[in-house]
Amino acid sequence: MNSALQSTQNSSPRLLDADVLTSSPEPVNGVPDNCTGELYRRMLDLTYHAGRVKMELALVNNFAEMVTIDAEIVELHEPGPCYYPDLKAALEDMRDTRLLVATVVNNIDLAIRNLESQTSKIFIQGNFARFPDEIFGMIFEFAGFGDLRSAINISRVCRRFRNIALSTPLLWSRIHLRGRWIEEAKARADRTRSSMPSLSLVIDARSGHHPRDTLYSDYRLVILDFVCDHALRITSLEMDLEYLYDGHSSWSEYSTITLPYLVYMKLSAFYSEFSDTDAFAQREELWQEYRDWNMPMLRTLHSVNMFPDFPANVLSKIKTYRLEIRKEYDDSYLHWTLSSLAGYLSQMTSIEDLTISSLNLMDEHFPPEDIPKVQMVSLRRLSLKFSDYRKTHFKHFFDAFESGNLRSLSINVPSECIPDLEQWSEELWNVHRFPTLTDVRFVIRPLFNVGELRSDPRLTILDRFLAAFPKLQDIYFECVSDESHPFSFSNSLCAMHFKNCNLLDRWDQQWWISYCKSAYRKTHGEELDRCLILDGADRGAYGRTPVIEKTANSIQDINLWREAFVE
Amino acid sequence: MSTTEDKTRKVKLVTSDNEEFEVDWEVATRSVLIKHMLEDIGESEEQAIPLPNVTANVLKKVLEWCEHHRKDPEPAPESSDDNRKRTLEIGDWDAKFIQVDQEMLFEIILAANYLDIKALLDVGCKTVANMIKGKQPEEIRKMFNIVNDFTPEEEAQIKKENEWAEDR
Repeated sequence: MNSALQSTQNSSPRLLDADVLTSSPEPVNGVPDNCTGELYRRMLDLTYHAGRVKMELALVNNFAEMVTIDAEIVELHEPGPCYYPDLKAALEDMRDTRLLVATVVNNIDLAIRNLESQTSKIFIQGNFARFPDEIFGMIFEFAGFGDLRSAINISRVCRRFRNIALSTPLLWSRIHLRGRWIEEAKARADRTRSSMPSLSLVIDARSGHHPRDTLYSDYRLVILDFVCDHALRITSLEMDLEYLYDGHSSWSEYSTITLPYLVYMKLSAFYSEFSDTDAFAQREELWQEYRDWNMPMLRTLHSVNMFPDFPANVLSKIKTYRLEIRKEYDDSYLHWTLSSLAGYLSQMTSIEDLTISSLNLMDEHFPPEDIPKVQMVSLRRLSLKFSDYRKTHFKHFFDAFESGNLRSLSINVPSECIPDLEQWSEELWNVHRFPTLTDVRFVIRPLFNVGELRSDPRLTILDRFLAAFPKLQDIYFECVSDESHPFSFSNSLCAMHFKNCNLLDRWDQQWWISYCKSAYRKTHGEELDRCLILDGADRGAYGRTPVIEKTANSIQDINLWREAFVE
Repeated sequence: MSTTEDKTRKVKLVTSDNEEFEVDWEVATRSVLIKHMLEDIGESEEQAIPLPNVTANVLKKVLEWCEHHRKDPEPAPESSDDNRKRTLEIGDWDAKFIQVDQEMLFEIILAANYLDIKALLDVGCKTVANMIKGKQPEEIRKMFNIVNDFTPEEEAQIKKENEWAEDR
């Protein structure tokens, strides 16, 4: 205990002799000067009273035990009616005491809260500054990443914090290049000048700024100059190609930039056409000088409403590609066909991770034509989000690609698919098509007007995947609850996550599914968005209560699930 | 790569206040430091691992975290750190776990750093980061009892450097 009072008190813990309280406070050896006077006196009061409460309550407890013993002894002597008043008085005393104790507990709780708050505050003041620089560096990264104001505030606290903050590149390395704030970008880049290549640049249009404004044309030049100046340090680059397009000049001098350490690139357009008649016909109002940039390390590509028009030697090295297609109502901002999409993806001969969201399955994207099946032998992870559902096109889409080495499959589809699940799930997802599949994530999103649900999506999806893929390790399934609703719509989402399913035999898996079904229904109408997680590695433990505490959302959840299972 | 034998193996840990803990290998090896020490001593099950920088009450808390996260996948390589830093969110269980007094929080962070348990260190650092995020320099100084050691000239210079950010 590092208390100012400790040096004055070597006797019973924190309990002072009453005389101390009545004597005038004298400066004591070892006690700081600021511990004299009113504060010192009050602190003595506090420690004395706290100790006294503890001591008196111990005494009270002794007496309470004695009362219990006394009552038992009296009972052995079988007291007659003449003792009724005495027993009654003792009973009333104990009832009053209980009320008093409740008040005491309340006051103790209040005191504890206050003292905890004070000790926490003082502890922080006395100790946290003792953290080594490396820990403060981590704290600052969390506090200041993507939050320039916090990063600056931290760097203005003291010399030590400033040195740590300025030597933490992550605080300053993500730079938004937006016209008049180019000074901010330069300041940030300067702060990380001595570090390794790590600049992450974002070039986007600010809302409300018209891209063809002459003033902003100048800003675009400044921004592109900035890219050239820092080309050797940029590892990540995001560009809004419409913002960079000025409608007048191509700025061909910027078409030969070399970005030797660039590993991630995101290109965005508001809208673009991509027809299969001219596979690389992009909309004219997009800046296109990036196409010939030299980016030998580029491995991760993300495009929004467009297919980046890179030469084959760039696309063939891409390992991770994310295509984001935004839409309004039924209208996609990227006009594509299955043929053009397949043609583009076929150039990514090294791709391992593919994400597409959101695919619109309207007829215009699936003209009647035969397209050769695209071989994606390197693909390991596939994630697809469908904005709508049409049975024929859904199947047509999966038939267009062959990816026999796929390990992880994620599908997000509206609930319109449910009536068809029984019919084609086995045909689409089977071990012949995906022999190495181990992880599945299947999300069925609720939509209005689903119609009558003839098949149970839980049984269909879970059972089919578990039966079809003996090596499946992990399956996550999320679906709208299936109780009837006036508009065929439910706002209750339930999810279940089976881990290590390969450790269980079929009987155990079916047991899981059947119990999940009842649990699913049991919780409808209570809390939303819960996830039941079962782990095959805990096989020995599940017995009657297969819910693993650590994976439930809260204690309440666990109890709810348990009730469902025990019944 | 752990073997089936490793998973059934018990590990003895001795704290700075000489308390001994016997835990599953899978739990103990959430700590990279302990994992490396176990690799160094080989198959000797009887040999206890000394942890001179951790007290029993702190180790008990740390092991509670390790037990809960015993089946978590191995931490991502350093190259993916950027993504890890982008969020201040803490999982539900971790958020409850870290609801401790400041002294324990301080000790957990130091212990996680010493034992090299990156995910636990992240939880602790995020908790402190949430305390300072959005605060003015003076508020941070007061919180940590830090003296402003900039000279007036330095303060003026720093203010000038950050002028571009003032009107945001």
